Amino acid sequence: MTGIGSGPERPSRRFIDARRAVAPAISKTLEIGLGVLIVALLTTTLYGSVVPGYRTAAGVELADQSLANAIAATERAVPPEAQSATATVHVELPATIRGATYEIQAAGDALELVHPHPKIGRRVRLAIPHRVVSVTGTWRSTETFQVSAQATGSDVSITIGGVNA
Amino acid sequence: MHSSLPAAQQSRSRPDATNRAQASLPAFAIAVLVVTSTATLAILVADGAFGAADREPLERTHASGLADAMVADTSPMTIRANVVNETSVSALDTELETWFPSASGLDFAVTLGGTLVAERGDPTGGTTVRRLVLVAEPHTRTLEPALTSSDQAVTLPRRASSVNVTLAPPAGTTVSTVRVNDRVVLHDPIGLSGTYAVPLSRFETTSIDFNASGPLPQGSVRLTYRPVATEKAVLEVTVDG
Repeated sequence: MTGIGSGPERPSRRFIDARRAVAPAISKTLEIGLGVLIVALLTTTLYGSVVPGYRTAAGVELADQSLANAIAATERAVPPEAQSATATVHVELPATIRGATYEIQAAGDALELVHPHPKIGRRVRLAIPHRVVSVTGTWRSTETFQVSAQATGSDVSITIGGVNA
Repeated sequence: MHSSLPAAQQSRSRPDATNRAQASLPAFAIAVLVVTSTATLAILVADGAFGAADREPLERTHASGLADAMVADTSPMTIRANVVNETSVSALDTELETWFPSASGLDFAVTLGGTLVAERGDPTGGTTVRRLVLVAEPHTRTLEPALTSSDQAVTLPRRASSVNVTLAPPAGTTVSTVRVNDRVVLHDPIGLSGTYAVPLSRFETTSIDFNASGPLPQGSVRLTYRPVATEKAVLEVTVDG
């Protein structure tokens, strides 16, 4: 088979080889280019908008949850009417939201979550009785959340802050 | 053979030559399709997970905080913890922002036993927190017993925290002592006359004993008391943040 075919086969193969010499190179380059483009597009879409969007969405949910727990703890700390009473409540809250530490600040009769990301953070009013005359303090997320309530006569003052765990 | 071989070779290799350059293109296209659809599917799954994880914790905190504040001992709506005053409940709609400042700015509704008592905004869906409460409705009851003998007791049919005793004995008859469950609460040897407020215990049935010089016909003793009728109800607080 090879003995017979080797003679006349050679010119025709050389002819074919010469004709398609450029085609595979272009095709491969095109393929690689398209492949790189697809991967680049996918990476850009994922890491440019989809993943940060999800991180923010998860951060907003976590911030809501964290603030809700802080509010529940603050409302729970209000002691019943007494001549003198002190109550302290500790809650473990997430140390970071979306990879960054944050703060919960007391503002009037509300608690406000402050986060470096512009979309995360909220101010929520507390459902506390009128006996509570002041809510003060700032808590940094690196510490354990602590609420102290001090009742003197009919007045209750609440301080939020952290204790190093 | 010699003449047909190149022709056969050519006819076999020419389509080969044109096809082979793009031989991997369909495979590549399929690969791109698979990668893209996998990525899209993954994003859709993640989207679904995020949608399912939406729990509205602040809404729940608002609702439970408000519900707890409403049924608390110190709430303006309650007589004691978990016992709401029906007259205060009907005033809730107007006094809401004064009594519960944290509720302002929220879309929410409060129902008691299925009846809407207060509503702000337009709460659709939202989070509902339920608290089992007693609804207390004070009634004013008046009792005018006729006491035929000079020393006779009257038992109040319902328990109350106080009773107003109005004494107007007929001429010639004096009421010297009034006892509640054998304790002397009113005493005047010359004779009692007029209206007296007598505090009572909610925890025992009250028997009022009159010590008079003669029989007291109907109208000479009037007992006015305010028993509290309570019924169970569910207080629902719906907050739509």
